[in-house]
Amino acid sequence: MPSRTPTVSLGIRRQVVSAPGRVTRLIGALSGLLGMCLGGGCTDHADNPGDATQAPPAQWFTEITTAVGLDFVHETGATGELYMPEVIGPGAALFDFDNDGDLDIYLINGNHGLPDAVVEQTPTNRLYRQDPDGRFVDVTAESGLGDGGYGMGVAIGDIDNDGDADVYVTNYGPDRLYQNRGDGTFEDITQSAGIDVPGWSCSAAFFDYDRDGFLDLYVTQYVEFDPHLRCFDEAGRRDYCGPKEFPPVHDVLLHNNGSSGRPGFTDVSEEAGVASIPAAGLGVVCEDLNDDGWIDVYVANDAYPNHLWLNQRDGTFREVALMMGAAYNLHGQSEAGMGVVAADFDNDSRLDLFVTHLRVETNTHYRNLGRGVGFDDVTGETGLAASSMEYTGFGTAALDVELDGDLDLVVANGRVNRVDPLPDASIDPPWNLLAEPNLFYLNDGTGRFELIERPVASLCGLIEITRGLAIGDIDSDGDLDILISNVQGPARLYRNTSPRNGHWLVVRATDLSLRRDAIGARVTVFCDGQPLVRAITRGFSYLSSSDPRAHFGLGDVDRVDRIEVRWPDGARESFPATEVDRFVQVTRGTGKRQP
Amino acid sequence: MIVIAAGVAIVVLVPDEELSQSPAPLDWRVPDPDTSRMQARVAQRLKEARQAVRRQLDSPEAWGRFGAVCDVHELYGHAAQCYRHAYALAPNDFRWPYLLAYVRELQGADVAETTRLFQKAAELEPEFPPVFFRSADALMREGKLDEARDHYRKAIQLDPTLAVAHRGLGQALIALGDPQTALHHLERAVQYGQQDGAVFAAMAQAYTRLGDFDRAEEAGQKSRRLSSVLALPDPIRFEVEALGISSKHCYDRARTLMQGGDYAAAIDQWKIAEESLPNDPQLHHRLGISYMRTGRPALAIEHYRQALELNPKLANAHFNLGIGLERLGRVDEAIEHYRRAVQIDPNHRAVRRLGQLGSAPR
Repeated sequence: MPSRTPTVSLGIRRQVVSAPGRVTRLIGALSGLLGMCLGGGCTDHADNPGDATQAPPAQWFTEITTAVGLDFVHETGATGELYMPEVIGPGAALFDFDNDGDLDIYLINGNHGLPDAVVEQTPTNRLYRQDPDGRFVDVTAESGLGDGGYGMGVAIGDIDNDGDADVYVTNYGPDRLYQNRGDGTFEDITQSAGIDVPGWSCSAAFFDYDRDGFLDLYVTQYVEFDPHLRCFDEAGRRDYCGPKEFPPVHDVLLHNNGSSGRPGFTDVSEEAGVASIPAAGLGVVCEDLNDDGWIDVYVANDAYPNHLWLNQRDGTFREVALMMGAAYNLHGQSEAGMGVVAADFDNDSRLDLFVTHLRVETNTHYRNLGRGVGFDDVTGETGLAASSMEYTGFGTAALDVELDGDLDLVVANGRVNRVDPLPDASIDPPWNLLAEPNLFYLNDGTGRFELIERPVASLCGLIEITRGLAIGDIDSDGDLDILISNVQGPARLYRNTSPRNGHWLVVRATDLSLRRDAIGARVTVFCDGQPLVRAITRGFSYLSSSDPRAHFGLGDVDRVDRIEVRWPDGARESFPATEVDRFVQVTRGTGKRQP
Repeated sequence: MIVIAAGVAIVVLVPDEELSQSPAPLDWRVPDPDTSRMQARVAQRLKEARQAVRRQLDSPEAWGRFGAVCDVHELYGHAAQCYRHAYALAPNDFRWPYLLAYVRELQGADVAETTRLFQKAAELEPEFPPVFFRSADALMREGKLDEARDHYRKAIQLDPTLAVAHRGLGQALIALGDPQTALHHLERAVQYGQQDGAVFAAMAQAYTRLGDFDRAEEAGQKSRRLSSVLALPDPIRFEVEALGISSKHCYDRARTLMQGGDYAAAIDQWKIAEESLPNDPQLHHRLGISYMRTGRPALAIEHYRQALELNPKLANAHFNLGIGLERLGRVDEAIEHYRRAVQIDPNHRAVRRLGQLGSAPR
C-alpha cells in the first residue's frame, strides 16, 4: 500500500447526527461530553454541549462513523429464544480490497435464520469502499461480498498470490471463501476451492505454516450448538447457554494447494494434529511464539485450556500450551478465552500474549520468557487484573496510540450473560443487559499498564455490546485508528486524535515473488541500537482482520538506524537507515541478507 | 452511630477502620433485587431473606443471610451491600469481612481492599486456613507473588495437609522462578489428595523450566485427562452454597451428589431442576441413572427414553436404557439399544455387552 499525504482532516468536520435508530445517551461519569468536540468539530454525540466552564480534555479517539458514511447496524435476528450465536459475533475487517492505497471496511452481519441459519438470506455482510475524500460508500451489491450466512467473523489474505486481498467469512453454518477478481468484485469459490467447513466457525487467520509461499488457513470452531437446549443463570433467569453445555469440537486447518495453479484448499486438521484435542475455540493468532523461525498457532479457548500448537516443521503441530504456561492462568484455571493478540508489550523483542476473558475472570497477559521456555502469567504484575474482572472482553489490539514507543492496549467488552444492566447503557432493553464499556490501557514504557478513562471517553464511554475490533491507519496520517463492531448495534469508526508524543514509521513488508504482504514476517527497527519489534499480521483480536502493516511509534527518535526483516521462511534481511514520520516499503531481495 | 433505616432508628457499631477507608458511606436501605425474571423459588428465597432484614434491621445474622442468598445467586452488588451491614453491626464476627472480601474480589475490587478485609478476618479468626488461602489467591492475581507465597505458607502452617494451599504455593514459586521447590509442594498437593488438572499443569510447567521435558510431557498428559477443582474445605462458603435454590444450583448439586454416590438425594435435586429444564436430555439421562442406582428401573427407563427423544445421539443413554431393559428381562429390546450405542460410538462398551449376550453389532 503506497503512502499518501493525507488530504482530508476528518476530525475537523462537524457531525451532529446520531447513528440511525440508536439511542445516544451519555453516562453520568462522562457528563459534559468530555471533549467529544475536538478542534472545533464534534462527533456523533455532540448534541450535549457539556459544561462550558470546564475545558474538556482532548479526546484521543474521535468517532467519525456517520460523517464518513458508515451506516452499518448489526442484526442478530433474535426472537427471544436466546440462541447462543446471537451474542458471539460479529467481526470486522479493515483492508484495501481495490488496491487504491486506502483501507476499506467489511462488516459481518447476522440474519433471521436461527436456529437453522438458512431460512432467510437477509440481512447480509456489507463492504464499504473508502473514496479519496475519506468517505465510505456501500459497494456490497456490486462487489458480491454480501454473504447471507449467519456471520461470525472474517479473515483476509491473498490466497492466490495475485496481489489482491481475498476474503474468508466464518459463519454459524457453512463458511464461505471469496476470491478477489482484481476489479473490485469477488467470486464465491467456496465449492471449487474445496472449502467444506460446516458447524460453527469463529476467528480465522491466514498464515503459511509449511513455507510453500501460499497462505494456509486456521479456523477456530466453537461448539456443537443445540438450539433446543435452554439455559438459566444462578438466579434461575433464562440466559444464553455457555460453551460447556455443548460438545466441544476441534479446529480446522486448511492447507492451500496454490502451487497447483488454481485456488484450492485441503482440510489437513487430522494429519496436522490440530484435530486431536477438541475444545471451544474463539480467538486465534498465528505467530512464531518460540522464536524458532516457524509460525505457530495460539488458540484462545472458551472454558477449556488454551492451545499452543508448535509448528513441528514437517506439516504437523504439537500442543504445548500446558507445558509452556499458556494454557491456564496463574492459578491453573481454564478461563473463557475470547480474543487474543500477540505483541511485544515490554520491548524485549519477544511476542507476548494477551487474552480477553469473561466477567469475574481477569483478562490474562502472558509474558514470553524467551528461549522456548514458555510464558508467565503477569496480569497482576502489569496492572491488568482488577480492572477487567467486571467485564467480558472480546476484541483486542496492541497499538502505540500516542507514538511514544510502547504498545498500549484496547479491549472491546460486552457480556454474554444477562445479568443486571449497567446504569446508562447505551442500548435499549433487552440488549442493555449485555452492554459494557470498552477499556483502554496505557503502557508506561516498562510493560506495565494503567487504565485511562477520560481521554478515551468517546471510545470507552458508550456502553454497548462490542465484539470485533480492528486497527489500521484509515486516514494515512501515521497513527492507528480503530473500528469496532457491536451486537445489535452500529459498527463504529474512531479516528486517532491523541496527542502525538513522538515520531512514527509504518513499514509494509512485501515479497515481490509472491506479489503480496509478507504475512508472518517480523519487522525490527533499530533506533540508537534499541530494537522495536512488530509482526506483519492481519489475524488477531476477535473475529476480525486488521491492516497488516507494521506500525511503530518512535518517541523522540528522529531517525531509524536500520530495519531488519525476518521473512516468513526464516530468512533475514537488513534495510538501510530511514527518516521517520513516513510510510516505507521493504521488499524482499532488495536489502542485505543477514546470517 | 445512629442510622435511620426504613423509618426505624437503630444504633449500630461500625468498624471505624472500614468506614474511614470505605469510598462511600454505607447505604442503609435494604437492597431490593429485581426478581422479575427469576425462577419463583429463587425470588421467594430472596423475598424471605429480605423480609427478615426488614423485620430486624439491627440483626447481623439477618443481613448476613440476605447477603449470602444474594451471593449464591450471583447478585454480588447486593451481597456486598448486605455483608457490609452485617460487618458494621457485628464487627467481631470474622464471617462478614471474609464473605465481603470474597464477593468484592469477584466484583474486581482493588486487591488492597480485599487483602485488608481478609486480614481483618484473619485477626478475628486466626485459625481458619481458607482466609489465608483466599488472600494468597487474591495477592497472586494482582502479581504480589512474595506476599502470596507467605499467605499460602501461613495456610499450610495452620493445616499442613491442605492440599490446595500446597498447589497454590507451588504455582507461586514457579512464578517466582523457583521450580524445584515448587515441585516439592506440588507433590505434597498430590500426596494430600489434590490430584487435579491444575496441579499437574503446574508440574508440567515446573519440569519444563527445569529442562526435564519427558516428565513435563507426562505431567501434561495427566493434566489433560483431569479437570481442575478447588478442593478447599471451607465451611463458611459451603454454608453459602447450600442456600442456592435455582435450577442451576440443583443441577450442579445433583451431579455432586451422584459423584458422592448419594443417588437418592440426587433425585430430589434433579426433580427440582427438571421443573425448569424439562427438555434437557442430560438431566433425564442422569435422573434415569439415579433411579436405576436406587433400584427403580421402570422409572429409569422412562427418563432414558425421554433423554433419547430429546437427543437420539446419546450413546450412553442407549447403553443405560439397554441395562434397564435387561433388568426387566426385555433382552431383545436391550440388544437393540446396545446396537444403537455402537452405531453412534463404535468403541462404546456396549460392544462388550453385546458380546456377552452373544449378539453382534450391526
